[in-house]
Amino acid sequence: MISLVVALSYSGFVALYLAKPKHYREFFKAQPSSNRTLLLRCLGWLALGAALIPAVLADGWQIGPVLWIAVLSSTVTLLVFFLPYQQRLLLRLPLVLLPTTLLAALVTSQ
Amino acid sequence: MKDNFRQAMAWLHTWSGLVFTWLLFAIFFTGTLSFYRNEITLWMQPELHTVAPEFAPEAAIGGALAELHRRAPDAKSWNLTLPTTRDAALTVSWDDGGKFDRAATFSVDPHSGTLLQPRATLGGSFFRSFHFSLMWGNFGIWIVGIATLVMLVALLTGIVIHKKIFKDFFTFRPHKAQARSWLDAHNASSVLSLPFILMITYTGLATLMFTWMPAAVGVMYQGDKKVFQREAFARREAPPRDSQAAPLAALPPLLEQTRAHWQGALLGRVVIHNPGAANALIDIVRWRGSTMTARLDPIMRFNGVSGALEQELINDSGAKNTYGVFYGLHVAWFADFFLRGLLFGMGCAGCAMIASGAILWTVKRRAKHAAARGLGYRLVEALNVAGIAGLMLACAVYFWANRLLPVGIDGRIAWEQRCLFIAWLLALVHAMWRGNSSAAWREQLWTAAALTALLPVLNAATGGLALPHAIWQGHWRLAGVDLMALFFAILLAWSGWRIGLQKDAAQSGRPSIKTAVNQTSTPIKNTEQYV
Repeated sequence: MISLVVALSYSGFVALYLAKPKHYREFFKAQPSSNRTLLLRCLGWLALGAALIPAVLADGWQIGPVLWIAVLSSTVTLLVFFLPYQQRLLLRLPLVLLPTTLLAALVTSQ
Repeated sequence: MKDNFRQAMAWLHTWSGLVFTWLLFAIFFTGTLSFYRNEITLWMQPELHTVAPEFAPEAAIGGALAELHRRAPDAKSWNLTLPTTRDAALTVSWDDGGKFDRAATFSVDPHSGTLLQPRATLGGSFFRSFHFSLMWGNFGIWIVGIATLVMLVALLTGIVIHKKIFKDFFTFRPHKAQARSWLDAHNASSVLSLPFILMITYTGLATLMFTWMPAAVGVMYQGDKKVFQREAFARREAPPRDSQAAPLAALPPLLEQTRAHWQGALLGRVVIHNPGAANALIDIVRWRGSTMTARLDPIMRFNGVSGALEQELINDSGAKNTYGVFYGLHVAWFADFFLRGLLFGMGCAGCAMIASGAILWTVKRRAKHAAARGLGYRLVEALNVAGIAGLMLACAVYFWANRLLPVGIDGRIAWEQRCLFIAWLLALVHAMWRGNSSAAWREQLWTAAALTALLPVLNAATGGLALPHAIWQGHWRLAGVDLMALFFAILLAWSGWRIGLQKDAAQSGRPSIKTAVNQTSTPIKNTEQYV
């Protein structure tokens, strides 16, 4: 469950990062349409919000929100500080991170 | 008007930040270490490294009580702190009604009840005490209170002047000119961990609010803080000791009953009031890490002679709960292994914010003042070196002193701390004497890195459980301290290496700090230039 909190939060911030046309161009080498930007922004915020669900499932309503905010802050800090060094790897990571943690969460909650 | 406002805020941010920066860094750094207070204390007591935890220490309680009967038969109360996931030993203390006395405490093995002999040390508790009192009693608490208010001012003014970065906070450009990347580092570390930093600063004020805002208690209770504390928190108050003696009820069934009542919750403490008297009371307190609110853990109170349940004391006040949540958020007793790591990481981000801000101040003024080398500028540079690198060096020395000071000497606890403060003072003298700040930075960072890197070796060589063994046995709370030391060593060495690189570049005429600093006066525009 906690790994899913991390994955959702991290992926959300990656989406928000790519929602900036400047960063999008840098990564995809193409001009984003305004729909694409909006979609990325919605997905990003949605993922950040959704990360609260596994956090509360893991730690309850008292400590869950604390965990959620702590994970949000930590993932974005790591993302920002390592982006200049490993941009391509870090921006592709959600493609691996999301499915595996989702699967792990489903398997362990059975 | 708007620009004037931002300029005023920038001025306030710069100067309030600068004046308190070293104090705030020390508070933040030692406070961050306090998240691992128990683990550091364990590391510093190698005598306890091989004690395995036992959460149902019924077998050991007999031994503990026998020792208490021998040492303090007439105590006001006996206190057994049961093993938890963070402390393996069963810690016993007693209260004679006077001030807390460190000598009135001992540890027993949670399996057998035999007496353990850990060395005298404050361990990680030193960092905790230092971060709110500077080891200076009430006077220190007041200084920390003022510094905390200044921290809030610096945070809020920082939000005003750096508000641009909220729009695009994915900005960190380590390869740009020096002032630019320091500014990025300062901005990024503060914005990203801002929720944590605001929370910890504000709740820090809440934890000691009765010291900092004594007026209400002073008026309502005629200045008698004790009465207030008793009414508000110390629900464990017991009647005066009865002169008639009576044997104490057996503890194990009561522990069993309490565990069943709280659905298997971990128990934190057993407090026995008036032990041996006819009006003895036994309080069993739930483990403090089980909820977010601190200082309000539920208590099951039993008759100390018959063992009958008298009442369950639960907090039912909204005001107390609010205070308990603030307090609980600050001390984070609830945090498990993962969350504790995150909180520690964000504490480090807070330290990075303060340190980068302090360094930014000198980097921005280096071009202008380096030639003149005014006294004020040199003082700030020296204090930066000693306040940041010197403090980490001094903390490493504290760990070394813990292992190298002979176990039996008098005043061992005080000497451990003296070693830290002497090392810190020497770091300041060195930084002032060295003059050249990049050399001072490098030398202190490298020394700190070497001392920290060797801590796992020191641990293994002086009777501790060696890192490979600790990992092999899955003793992560102990291995974690060694691993953290290695991590900090790498960080310190890397910083020293980076500073060395910059110096080499400056000497060989490649793109250097000097040219980099000269460039910065143009690209940094708007309010940021006042920062």
